[in-house]
Amino acid sequence: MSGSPLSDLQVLILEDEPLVSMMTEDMVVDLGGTVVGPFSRLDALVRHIEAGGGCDLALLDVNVNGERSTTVADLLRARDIPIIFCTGYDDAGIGEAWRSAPRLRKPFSDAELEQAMRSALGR
Amino acid sequence: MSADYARIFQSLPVPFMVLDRNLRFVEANAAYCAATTSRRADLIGRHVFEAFPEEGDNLRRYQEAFERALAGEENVVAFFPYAVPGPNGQRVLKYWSCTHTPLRNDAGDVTHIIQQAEDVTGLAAEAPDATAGMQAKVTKRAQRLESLSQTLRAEGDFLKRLFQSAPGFMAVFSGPDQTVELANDAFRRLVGKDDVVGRSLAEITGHFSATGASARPGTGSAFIAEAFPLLVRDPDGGAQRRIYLDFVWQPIIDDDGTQVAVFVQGNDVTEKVQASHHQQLLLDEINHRVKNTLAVVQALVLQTLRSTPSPAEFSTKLQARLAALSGTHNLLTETAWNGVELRALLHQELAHFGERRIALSGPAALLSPRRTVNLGLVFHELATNAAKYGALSVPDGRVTVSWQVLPDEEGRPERLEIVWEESGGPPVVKPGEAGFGTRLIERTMRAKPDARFSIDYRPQGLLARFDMPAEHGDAT
Repeated sequence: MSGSPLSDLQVLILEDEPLVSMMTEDMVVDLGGTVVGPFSRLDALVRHIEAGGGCDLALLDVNVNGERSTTVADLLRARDIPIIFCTGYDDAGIGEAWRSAPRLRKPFSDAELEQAMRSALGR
Repeated sequence: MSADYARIFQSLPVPFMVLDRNLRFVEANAAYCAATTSRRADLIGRHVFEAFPEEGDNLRRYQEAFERALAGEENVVAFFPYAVPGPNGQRVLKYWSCTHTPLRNDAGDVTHIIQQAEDVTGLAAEAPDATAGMQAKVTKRAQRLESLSQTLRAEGDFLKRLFQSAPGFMAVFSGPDQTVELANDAFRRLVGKDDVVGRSLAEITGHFSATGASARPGTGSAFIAEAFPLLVRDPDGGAQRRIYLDFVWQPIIDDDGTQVAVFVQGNDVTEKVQASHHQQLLLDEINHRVKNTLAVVQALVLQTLRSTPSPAEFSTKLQARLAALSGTHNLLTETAWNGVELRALLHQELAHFGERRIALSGPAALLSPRRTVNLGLVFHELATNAAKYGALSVPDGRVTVSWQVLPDEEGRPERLEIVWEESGGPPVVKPGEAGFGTRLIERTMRAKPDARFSIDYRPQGLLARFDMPAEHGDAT
C-alpha cells in the first residue's frame, strides 16, 4: 500500500491476546505501516516509552492482563502521540479523561482499523 | 417495716374479692361483703356461681369475663344488674361494674382473679325518670360499649403484633431531635440496638453514614427512597459495610398543619441490590468472554487464510483449529472456568494418536483459563505439525511431554517447565520461515514476563521447551 496516507507509519501495538495481536500486526502491515512492538505487557511498554521509544500512533488494548492501559495512554499523550483504544466489551474502564478518544470495538475489521487510524491522525 | 397486706386489703373502701382458678372464693374484703350483703366466712371456699347464682346472658357474660382473666387479660363487665338481699330481707336491684385483673405467680402463670366490684346503681338512679325501661336501655348501651371496647382491644392487640413483627422496619419520631416514640423489631435489628425508644435518631444511627450526594429526607414533606445507600460501621470491628434501604419517610401533620411526628417504614434491600450487581457482573463477564472469543476466532480465520491459499486446505485447517478452541472451552466449562489441569489439556490434544505413541508425565499443574485457551491452541499446532511432518507422521514415532513445577524458597509454585520431545520420526528439517504455530507460541510466551520458549529442530526429532511463571487462576 505504498502511497497510502498510512504508509510508513510507525504503529505501536499493545495487546495481550496473542492471536489478536498477530492479527492486528498483519492488518497494520497490510495498511503499509510498520509495527512497534507488539507489546503484550504494560511494564514492557512503559520501559520502551521511558527509554525514548517513539511511534506515530498507538493501538492500545484497554484491559491488559487485568490492568487498564490508561496510565500508558497518559504517557503517550504527554508526547503528543495519537491513541486508539481497542475495547473488548465495555468503555467503563477508560475513564473520563479519555472519553473522547477514538476507539475500536473488538472484533474489528481491517476497514474499521483504517478508518480509526485516519480519524486519529486527522487524515 | 413490712406492711400488713391482709389488713390493707380488708380496709380498702372499694369492694374486692379474689377467686382461684376454679372460681372459688379465696378472699373478699369488708366492702365487698357489705355491698353484697354477705359474710366473708360464707363466701370463702364457695364457687362464685354458687354464692351468686347467674343464668342465661348474665351467666355467659361472667363466664367469658373469668375465662379471659384466667387467660391473662384484664377485663371489665360494665353496668351489670344483680339483685342483692336488702337489710330487711327483700331483694334490691343494683348495678355493678366489675373489673377482673389476673394475678400471676413468679413464673407468670395466672393463679387467681381479682375482682373489683363497683356499685354503679347511683348512675342509673340519678336520672330523674329512672324507670325500669330506661335502666334497661342504659344496661344495653353499657353492654354494647363493653363489647365494642373488647373488639377495639382485640384489634389494637392485632395491630400491635403486626407492627412489632412486620418484616419491614417501622418507627415513629417526634420533636426537634427526632426522638423515637415507637419502633418495631425490624427497626431494632436494623440499627442493632434494643433500647431505642426515647433516644434521638442521631444517637441510635450514629454508626450510619450516607454515601455520596444522595438526596436526604427534609422536613415537612414525604420522602421516598429506593435502594438508598448507607455505610454502617460495625460497633466492635470498626469495619464498614454498605447497605441499601427502600423506605418512606412520612411526616404526620396535625389539623393546624404542624408536623407532630414522622413515620418511617421501609425494608433492607441490600441482598436484592447485591444480587442485581452480581448479575450485572456476570453479564459483563459473559460479554467479555464472547467478544474475546469472537476476536480470537476472527484472528484464527485471518491467520489461517494468510498461510493457506487453497480453499480446501483452509477449510480443513480452520475447522481443526476451531475444534481445538472449542475442546478447550469444553474443558473450562467442566471446571466452571476455574482452570484446567495441564495433563487434561494435553490428553485432549494428543490422546487420539494412541497410548503407544504418546507419553505424558508430570505433577498436577492447574492452568488459568487464559493460559488454558492459549496453550490449547499451541499444543494443537505442535500436534498438527507432528502429524504432518514430525514424529506422528510415521507409525513408530513418539511424542513425550514432560513437565515439572518448580517451587520458590517458600515452597510455592514458581515456575512451570514443559518439554515437548519428538522421536522416531523422519529427519527434521528446519522450516524456512516461522509458520503460524511458531509465531503463536512466541507471541503467547511473550505475554508473561520471564517466560521463555525455545524450539530445537534436532534431526532426530523436534524439541520444544516452555519455561513460564507458575500461575493460579489468573484473570481470563
